[in-house]
Order: sequence, then C-alpha cells, then structure tokens
Amino acid sequence: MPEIRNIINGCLKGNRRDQELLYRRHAPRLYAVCLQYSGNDEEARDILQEGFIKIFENLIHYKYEGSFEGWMRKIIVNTALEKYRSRHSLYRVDDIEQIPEPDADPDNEDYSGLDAADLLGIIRELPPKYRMVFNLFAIEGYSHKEIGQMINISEGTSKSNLARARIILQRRVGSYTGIKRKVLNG
Amino acid sequence: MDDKKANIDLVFRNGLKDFEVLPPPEVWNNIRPVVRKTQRPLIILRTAAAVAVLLSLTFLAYRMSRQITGNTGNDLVTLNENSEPGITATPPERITPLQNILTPSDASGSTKETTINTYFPDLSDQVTAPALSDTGTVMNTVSPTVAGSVSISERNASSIGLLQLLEKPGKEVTIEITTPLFSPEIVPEKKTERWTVAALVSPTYYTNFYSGSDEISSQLHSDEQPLFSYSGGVAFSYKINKRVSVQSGLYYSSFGQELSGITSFGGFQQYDYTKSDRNFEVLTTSGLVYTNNADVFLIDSRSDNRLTTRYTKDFFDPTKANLQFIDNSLRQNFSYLELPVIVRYKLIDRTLDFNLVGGLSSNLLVNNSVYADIDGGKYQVGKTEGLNMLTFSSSLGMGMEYNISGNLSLNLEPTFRYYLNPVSQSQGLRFHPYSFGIFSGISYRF
Repeated sequence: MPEIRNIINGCLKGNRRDQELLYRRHAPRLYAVCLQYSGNDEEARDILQEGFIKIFENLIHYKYEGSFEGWMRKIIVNTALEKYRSRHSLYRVDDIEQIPEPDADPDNEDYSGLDAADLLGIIRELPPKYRMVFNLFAIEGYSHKEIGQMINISEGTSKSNLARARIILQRRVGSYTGIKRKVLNG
Repeated sequence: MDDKKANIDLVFRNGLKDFEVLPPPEVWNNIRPVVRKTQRPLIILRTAAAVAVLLSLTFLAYRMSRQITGNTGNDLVTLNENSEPGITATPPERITPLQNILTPSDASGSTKETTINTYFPDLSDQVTAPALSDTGTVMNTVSPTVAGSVSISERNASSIGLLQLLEKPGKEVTIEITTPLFSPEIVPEKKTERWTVAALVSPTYYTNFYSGSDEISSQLHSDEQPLFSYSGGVAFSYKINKRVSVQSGLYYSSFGQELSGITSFGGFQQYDYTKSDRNFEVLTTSGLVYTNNADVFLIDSRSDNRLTTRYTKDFFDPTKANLQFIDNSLRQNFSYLELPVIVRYKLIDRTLDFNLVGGLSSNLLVNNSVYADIDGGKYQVGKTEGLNMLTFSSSLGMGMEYNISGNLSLNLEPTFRYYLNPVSQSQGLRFHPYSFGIFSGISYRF
C-alpha cells in the first residue's frame, strides 16, 4: 500500500490515480462525519463533495504536522460549519421548541446495545443548532467560547443548546434502547 | 448529574469514533472534474504571479540602471573658458582623457586658441557627438576606439557655437583632424522617447457567468444586475523596441451588483432583542451578505432560499410595526487597487497607432459595502462575507493612440478582463466574473 506521503505528492502533481486513491481510502470515515453533521443525506453528500475539493485544493498547505486524517476531518467539519452558517446560523423561530425533561432517569440506562449506526441515526434527528453544538463540544472537543465564535452565538446560548441536546439524546437513546431490547427479547 | 452528561457524550464519542459509511459513487464523480479543473488555474496563477514579479523586478532594475547611466553622462566634459588663451577642462575621475584642440581666430587677426580636453568614458555603447555651445560647454560622446584631436579655426567670431558658425555666411570654419581613425560626426543629439505616462479612465460593465446547473445558482444569477462600474488610474510604460512596450501603474476600480427583490426597512433597532447586529444574511453570487446595522430589517419578496433570519415574516411584520420603507433592492459594492503588468504590441505605427494590449493584474480589495438607496443617498446595510482580499485578473484589449502633438497622444482602449480567481471564497458557487471597459485618456512621452 503506498505511503500517504507518496499519495499526497501524487495529488499535488495532479495525478488522478492518487487523487482517487486518497478519496477511496478516507471518504468512508469522512462521510460518516458528514452524516453526523447533517440532517439529510443530500446535505451530507454536499459537505463531503465540497470538503474533498477543499482538501485537494489545500493539500499544498499540509505540512505533515499532526495526523493527516485529523487535518482532513477539520476541513470537513469547517465545511459543515460553513454550510450550517449559510443555512441555519440565524435559525428560524419555529426551530425553537420546548424540550420536555426526560421521563425516565437515564442514570441506569444501559447503552451497550446501541451500535454506531443507531447513534448516528439518533444524533441526526437533533435540530440543526443542537446537533452542531453537541458535535462541536462532545465529539470535537471545542469550548463553548469557541463554538460561540464559530456559529455566531453567545457562550450562554451554546451551553443551553448543549444541555437541550443532551436531554433529547438521553431521552431518545433511552427509548431506542428499550425498543431494541424488546425486539431482541421477543 | 455531570457524570450523566459526560456519560452521554462518551457514548456518542466512542460509539462514532471509527464509524465508516461508504459514500454514494456520484460524489466522487462530481469531485473528479472539479479537481481536474482546479489544477490548471493553480498552475496558471503561480506562473502568472512569477511572470508578474519577474517583469516588475526587470522593470525596476532597468529603471535604476538608466538613472546611473544618466548621471555618468552628465560628467562628460566641462569646458572652463577664461581670459587665458588656453582653456582646459578638468577631467573627472575614472575617465580616460584624450585631447582635442579647437583653435578659433577672430577678424582682427588675434588668434585665440582654445584647448578642450575631451574625455572618453569607459562606456562601450556611447558614440561621439561634439557640440560647442555659446557658454563654451562641449558635449562629446565618443567611441572608446576613437583617438585623435580636432582643431577648429574660426575667423570673425570668437565665442559662438559651432553649429551657428556653420550656418552663418561669411565665416570660415576649418576643422582639422590630426590623427583620425574616423571622423566623429557632428550631429544634434537625438533623444529617444522611451517612457510614457498616461492617465486613463473607463466606465466598465462587470458581470459573471456560472458553470453550475443547480436551481439556486440559477435563481441567484437571475436576481442580480450589474451596477455602474468604473476604473481609472495612472500608467507608466517603457518602450523596449519599436513595437513592444511594457506598462505598469496603479488603478482604482469600483464595481458591484444590485440584488433585486430584497426589500429594506429602517427603524428596526427598537424591536431587535438580540445582541448581535447580524440579524439577516443574504446569499449572493459574490458571497454571503450580512447586516451590521441593527436598525435594518430585510424581506426577500422573490425567494425563500436567499434570506436567512430569525425574524421571519411570521414572527415580525415591518408594515404593522410601521418601519420606514427604504428600497426594493440592495446594492453590493467592491473597490480594488490594481497593479497591472501589461505588454503592448504596436500593430500599426501611424498618426493613429493600433496596439494589441494584454497582461495580468493583481487586485487588492480596499472597500466592501452593501447599501440601499434612500433619497439619492446610501443607507448602510452591511458587508459581503468571505471575499478574497487579493484577486488576479487577465486582460486583453486593442489600444488606439492618436498623436495630437509631438509628445501628447489621446488613447482609447476597449479592454476585456477575466478574473482568474473568484471574488468570493465561497465554495459550491462557481461564478466566473469578467468585465468589459473602454479606457480613454491622454498620454505623454518623454
């Protein structure tokens, strides 16, 4: 298997075979990230497409510092952020829904029955702004201050969005686990 | 409670850590042609930038070398005429002296002998042209291979220029060349006018075409009309040879577009409950317009795709709130400082010259504003996000030059300009700006 450095050099020279090799090798992982940040498959495809174009255009700036996959992931996340800002940064009023408190105590919930596809499905059901804040905070590890600057909201709004996202996720994970358990137990 | 929160975070973080989903095949099919296209402009841009830098450096180096040469030329010969019969010029340093002797004699028979030391600098490209002025200054430019002395005898005149002597009847002038290798010709110095400075201005038509086929891009394009644009500045050109000259300078250009169907109202600030001024965003072909004026309220009367806001029509009605209507459209304006490097090729060299003009220009964004028209004035709305600070454009035109006097010309240059990189950094929207202008102005050769 060719070294990533050779593939990158090939891409920089405009070698189509290396470009496709890079895409085939990393697209599945990055497409999962796109799905995680989008509400529907079409948006995820757009993010992946635009993200990879940026990756190819900016390969020359990659200095082999840190992981290459991390560098690509950052571009994909930034593309998702741009998409979000252009469509949802000033979210519509009808997006603001009242979130009820979870009816069950999730402390004792067992999440072991959920696989990655289940988790992805649950996270994608979140309203866009909650999904974005949860992804940036819980998955990418950004602070509320950074998230506020990224999507043009206050630090407090970021915190409250995260809290609401967590409540929704706990509730849905709980009910999903229960349903799955029932199905499995007959 | 915190553990519980962290727990749900960890469930998703760990659960999705190495998750992979195979993307649909059409994604790569859409990426492939774009990647192929983007490689070329990158190479072209780099090459263009390198050529521009090289041309600029060559231009500067040549200009400096010309200045140094000019300074040396001024020190050729200084003739000091005094009451003494012999007049001797002091040789400047680094110049090899050769001796010419001029012997004028007057009508009274008293012969005044003037000795002029002519100095031949070590410059291989100089040619001799001796000329004696009224003040006694001799300007000589002599080939370094020429060695000899010139003796001039003059009757009925003592101290007048050599050329005048030749013209006056009844005067006899003899020039004796003692040891000539060849006779240095006495010709008036002819100065080649290589430099030209010009002031040019042009109304321009600026627009763009898009290479995509999606519905949103098509709609955005149809709702935008170019505004009156102009460009102007000062250009310097240097004539390399009879036909080719290189031109640079500094231009200022302003262009923009009108966004139809975006209605603006004023007086919204009292209803604005957010801290941010960025209440509205409008998607355009030149990037995302955002408001930075909390007092403005916008409605898109044509489409649901362009305007993003938390203050939807359902949420806030500007007519019920009695806001002041401003305009039915927004105007985007961009201004650039342009540094062109242009090559001009003279096709026809007559009283009316025709030149083929082509080159590259680096353009620096100096102004970016979005406003609405209100009673002939401008109501500031916001800015366009994500504009490239530096753009590169190529230009091609046909220059006409009409000589109105010895050094002055009138210029007319219809020019087409294509932007090599987009005005906006926004991805996804593939718009290619171009402009057409007719530059007119006046130029002076020296």
